Amino acid sequence: MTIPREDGRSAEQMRPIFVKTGVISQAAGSAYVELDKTKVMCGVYGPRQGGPGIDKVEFDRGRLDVDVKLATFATSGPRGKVAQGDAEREFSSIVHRALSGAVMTETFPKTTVDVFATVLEANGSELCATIAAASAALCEAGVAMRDLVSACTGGGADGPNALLLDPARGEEAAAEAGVTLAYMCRLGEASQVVATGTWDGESLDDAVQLAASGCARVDAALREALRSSVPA
Amino acid sequence: MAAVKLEACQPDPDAPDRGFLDVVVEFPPMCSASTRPGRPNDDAHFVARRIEDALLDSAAIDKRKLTIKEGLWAWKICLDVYCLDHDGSMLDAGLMAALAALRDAKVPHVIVDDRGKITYGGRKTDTESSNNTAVEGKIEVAAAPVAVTTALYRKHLIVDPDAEEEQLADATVTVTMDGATVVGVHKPGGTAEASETDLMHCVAACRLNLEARAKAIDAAFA
Amino acid sequence: MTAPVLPGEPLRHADEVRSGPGTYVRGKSVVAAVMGHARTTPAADDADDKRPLVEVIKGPVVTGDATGRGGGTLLPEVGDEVFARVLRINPRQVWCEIVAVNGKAVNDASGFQGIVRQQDVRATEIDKVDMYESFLPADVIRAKVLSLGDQRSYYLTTARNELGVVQAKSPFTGEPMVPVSWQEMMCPSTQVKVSRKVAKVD
Repeated sequence: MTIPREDGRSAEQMRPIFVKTGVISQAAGSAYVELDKTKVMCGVYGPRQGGPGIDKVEFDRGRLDVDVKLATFATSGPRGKVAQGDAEREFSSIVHRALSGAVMTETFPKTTVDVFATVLEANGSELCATIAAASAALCEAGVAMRDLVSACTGGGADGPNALLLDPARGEEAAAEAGVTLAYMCRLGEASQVVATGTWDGESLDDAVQLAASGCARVDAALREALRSSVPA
Repeated sequence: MAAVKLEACQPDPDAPDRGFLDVVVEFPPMCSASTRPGRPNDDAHFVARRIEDALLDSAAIDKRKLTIKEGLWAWKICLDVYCLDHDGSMLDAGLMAALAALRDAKVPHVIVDDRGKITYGGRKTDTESSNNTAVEGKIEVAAAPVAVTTALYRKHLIVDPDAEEEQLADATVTVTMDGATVVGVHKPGGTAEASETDLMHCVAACRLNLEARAKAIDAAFA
Repeated sequence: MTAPVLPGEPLRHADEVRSGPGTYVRGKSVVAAVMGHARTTPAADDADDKRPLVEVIKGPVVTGDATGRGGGTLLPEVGDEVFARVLRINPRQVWCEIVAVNGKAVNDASGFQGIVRQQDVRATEIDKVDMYESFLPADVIRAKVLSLGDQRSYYLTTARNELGVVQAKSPFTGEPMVPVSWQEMMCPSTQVKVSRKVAKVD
């Protein structure tokens, strides 16, 4: 049963995805991702000597540092603050965990790979767009990964059969519960699952399955963009 | 990338008939290999002030046109410019983005009642809201200044330097012009001196590139 | 020209090939870990493991180019030959900035640092080494990576004939000096000789 959504999509339909790599000249790898109006840009630097804030360097593996910023104009409403708030820190840490499952840090011991992203417009699923952009940027940078990481959210608004894939901002705000899945599609492994709100076992399962189908679409979009960027 | 957000606020008691223009420039960590999180970029403040100067000195923005109700309410233009990819000549690109954002901005209609309370909404034929505000819900941008940066390296002048060229340059000069008028000339330090001839060459370089850049902005609105 | 591969894509069965740089083993498959083209190199004749090596190389593969290292990024590894610029010295060691690894220039912003310790400057009479007669700041040296080193720097060695200073500026005229012997360089204009641990150039 499909319920019409604000933008005319069906419940299991994702918004159009746009991926472009090679967008930041000085970065080792970079990507720009759009999930309809949500826009994220990500640059990857390294492996390189870590910043001055690192107290201990590991000799058997490298560090993966993630920093995500929300532009002051990313959300509607008054101008945001430039300094990193708690929301940005948490965002960065979720993206870090999602990528850690894939990045093979043993291939760059002692050094650091920096993943810097900026959310230019937040219109729902910024987290997913950021993880996708980071995956593509890391891949372009040549950082060894077990697989590309894709992410997608399944949201539960109230009402029966009300699981929505890839909620837009209005839908996210109205949802009572949500599951964001960071998934490595080729491996068939989840690197992270973040669930908010209350779920019963079965509906959580459904939500994760729905999110996984969305991840497959993101993965396909990432691979297409990356493949077309490799010189023949 | 530049964005404009408008905030209604109390005007400065010393300047009750003027609004505000607040320009902030950000270099997020992703834009270059040397920017890191938590470390504010030295250039950000400089570029922001130059963009502000260019907009005000060329009268592109007239703060008096930003009043909503004299003494009570005025618009503050919050103009944020983010560098997405740092490849030199940030001021040139930043100013272009700022102008385009200002041209694109839509001013919400507001009504101020007798007690000085402001509410958003209302029709544009409302006499109170048309008092000294921007025409038809747009910010009046009366000029289109263009900045062109030239790098000085040994005896050579390199127009529109990229990041590597900027770093190697002995000094840089940015000339801002609006049509045929020079609105600003800036040479932030550097190890080389710019002679009068050098500066005239920089102004000529600006004049040459002026039209192309102005056309680029116009094309975006077409 | 084979199609490009992406991380997570399986390449060959693990029984048939060995996993090289840019790949990893998952279950029974050798899987790509970076984006690029796969290259298969047959095993050496005297190797115990006869399986060919599969690696994924970033960028186009030029057939016959055996020097391209598999895997994606450029990172100094033990045994690599590096070029480094000397930053500062003290009586025990020399700090330098690594500028090239195996002939490929390193990204400026990478910031890889190296240290050559007194005992690793040359092969003989290592306790009699005078650091100030071996290197000076701004020299460019050819060295080999000895180990991952400490928190901040890789440990390098110049204890072979072909390792040592490859470029040094004359303290009198600033022009590049010419090597005279393994321990002296000469300023071409003034003919004055200065001490360095000089790399033997063929």
